[in-house]
Amino acid sequence: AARAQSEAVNQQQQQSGAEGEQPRVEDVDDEEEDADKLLLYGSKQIIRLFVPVSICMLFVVSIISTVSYYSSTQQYLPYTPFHDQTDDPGKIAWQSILNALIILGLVIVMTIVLIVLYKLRCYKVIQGWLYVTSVLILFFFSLIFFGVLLSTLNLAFDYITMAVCVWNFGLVGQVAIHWKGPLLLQQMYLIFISALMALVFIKFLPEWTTWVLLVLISIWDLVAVLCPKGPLRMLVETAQERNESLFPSLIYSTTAAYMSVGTAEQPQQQQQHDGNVSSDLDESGSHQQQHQAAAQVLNGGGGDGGEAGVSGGHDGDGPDAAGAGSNGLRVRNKAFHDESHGVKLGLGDFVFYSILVGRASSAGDWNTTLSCYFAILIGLSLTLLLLAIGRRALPALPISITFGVIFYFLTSLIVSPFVDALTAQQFFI
Amino acid sequence: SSQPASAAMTLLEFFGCSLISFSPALIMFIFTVANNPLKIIILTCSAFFWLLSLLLSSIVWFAVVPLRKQLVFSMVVSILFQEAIRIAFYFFIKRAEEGLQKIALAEDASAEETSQQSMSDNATGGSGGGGSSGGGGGAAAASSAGGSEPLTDADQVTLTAGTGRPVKILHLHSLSYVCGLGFGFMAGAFSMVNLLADISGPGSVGLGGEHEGFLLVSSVLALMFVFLNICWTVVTFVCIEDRRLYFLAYVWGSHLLCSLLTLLNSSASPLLSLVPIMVSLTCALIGLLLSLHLVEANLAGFFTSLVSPAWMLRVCRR
Repeated sequence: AARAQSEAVNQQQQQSGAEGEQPRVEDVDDEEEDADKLLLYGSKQIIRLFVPVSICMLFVVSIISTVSYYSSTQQYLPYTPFHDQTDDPGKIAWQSILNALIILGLVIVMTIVLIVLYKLRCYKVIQGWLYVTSVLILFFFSLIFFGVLLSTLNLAFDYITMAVCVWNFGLVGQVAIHWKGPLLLQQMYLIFISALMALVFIKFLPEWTTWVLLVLISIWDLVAVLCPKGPLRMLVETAQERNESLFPSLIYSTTAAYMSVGTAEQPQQQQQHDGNVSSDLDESGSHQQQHQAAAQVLNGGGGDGGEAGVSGGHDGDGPDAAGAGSNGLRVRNKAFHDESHGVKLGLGDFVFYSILVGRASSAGDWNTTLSCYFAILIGLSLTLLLLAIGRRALPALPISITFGVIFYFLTSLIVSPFVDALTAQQFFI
Repeated sequence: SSQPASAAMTLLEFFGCSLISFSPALIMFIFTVANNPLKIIILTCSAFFWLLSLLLSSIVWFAVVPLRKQLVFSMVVSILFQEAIRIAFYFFIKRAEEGLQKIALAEDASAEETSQQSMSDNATGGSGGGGSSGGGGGAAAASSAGGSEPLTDADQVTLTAGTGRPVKILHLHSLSYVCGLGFGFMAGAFSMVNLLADISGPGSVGLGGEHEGFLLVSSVLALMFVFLNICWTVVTFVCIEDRRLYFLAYVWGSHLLCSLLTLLNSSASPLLSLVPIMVSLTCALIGLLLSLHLVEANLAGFFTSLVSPAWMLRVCRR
């Protein structure tokens, strides 16, 4: 319904745009004020996404630089079978391209599986899958994370206390993400999950595979969200036809939205500090993608480290669709009259941004990290600007990842030697 | 045994030097920029533009292979690029302001359409599923939430073609200040960040024969350059706006001067580094006075603002 209504609204706007603007009562001061408020509102939305993305990236970068577990790659996922340690550029090239293509293939397969499940109305299956995924991340990956963190800090900790702590941590996370909870808590857990997944990817993917994968995933994202036959678009349209909402968890939203899978309930209204009403839920199938990705990563990581007897139930594992789905990015523009519209960004976007910055920082050069960070932020602002202009679900990955990758290579190859030469002799420019 | 002690020592130096370089910028950010999202975005943009200028100058350095060792050449090129980017950023912001204004006005019109249309929708009960699925179009939310203001005729916006007056998104002076902060922060960050990362690890400065004040000199110079960038940017923007281009001579001249004087920095003696530091300080003070004169701020008022955050907030929020 929301989707239909928003489309009606869009059509109306297009019509009014086509007819040309009708002169109305002129009130210059009001116009200025309104436009100002609108801009301020729009920029507020951008900042509301800058902050969590920055926090996630900061978290990943600090963990990579302090905890050696995540910056060393000894074992690899079964989905990246080509990982010879070699310096031959040709070999590196074809190996990483093949690895990335395998993973992308997995992403596509999982997306299709999800769409099939959704079309066949197997909501229980999907929901169960989501729950299992987040359980695995919140309990098992967190356990590993805390374990290596404690060993890096050289703190002694007994298993009983650890069990109690992780149990509580994971359970609260489950509740906060899938059911009701304070918005801030939910956001924190979502950031934590994204950062953890990014860390896992950085650990288990060979270096050049990461870069090729980032590029391929952003191309896939572009295709999946924008093409008329794109899977994610089909997903959203199906949800719209059925007048249903999509899965609310695993999308980072700046306002609260609590819905259950496959129903069209009245959203719970939670009073935020700016009195928002739950925002729109016409998300593209990003969440599913996150879940898939999560499931896949989990299974991959679990099987690898020998932890968590994860059954090989999902074989298309891999760092996949997280990026693919995640990119439904919407801003609703009933702007200044009621600030009820949050912005939503898929968790896969968080994951892939953090992967990029984390990989950039694992090289040890902080200039590169800084420039990748700013490139991603600028890409995100441009995407949000396009969103404000285009008013439809947009993929959030392509622009940012393109900027990030370009700036990574340019900075590490050209800028860093220059800057290092200058700072070594304390020449300032 | 000695590991915690030495870790504490290097961490101390890390925090000390990073605060020397960046705490004024941080404070300025917290008090003047952090509460205005538009300024944060402009800050990010300006930092990015400085990065672009650095990228261009590195490409030149990389391309001109024989002169790679002669850093003077690439430093001068870099300074020219930075100033060019500063001026380009001015024009970019002007253009962006017009564009954003158009978007803002268009949004206004559509917001009006939306609300009117949705209100009629609600009247006919066309909001299938009630306010479900995300406050349908917000329009439904607007009418059903009850927390929003009723739309009145006063909210109607004008969209006559060529609505003359440009909407000031941000006042030019605060814009130039924010932009200068972005440039300065980025310039300082790129020169300091690797040093800071190195110093927080094990090891001491001076084992290779450098003087111990290496880090201190770098931090202080980074600090100077933050201030200098702010002053240069304010002067540049106001000059171009008012078409008083001769003040650009100050900007270019002092940039070249301060930057080339850092060539005196050597790892042998810290005393030589006093020259660039003092000259930078002088240029910064001159720049400060010049910018205040150009933005027609009261000097006494400015010093008052340094001790009174409220006044400063008021001035900078203009």
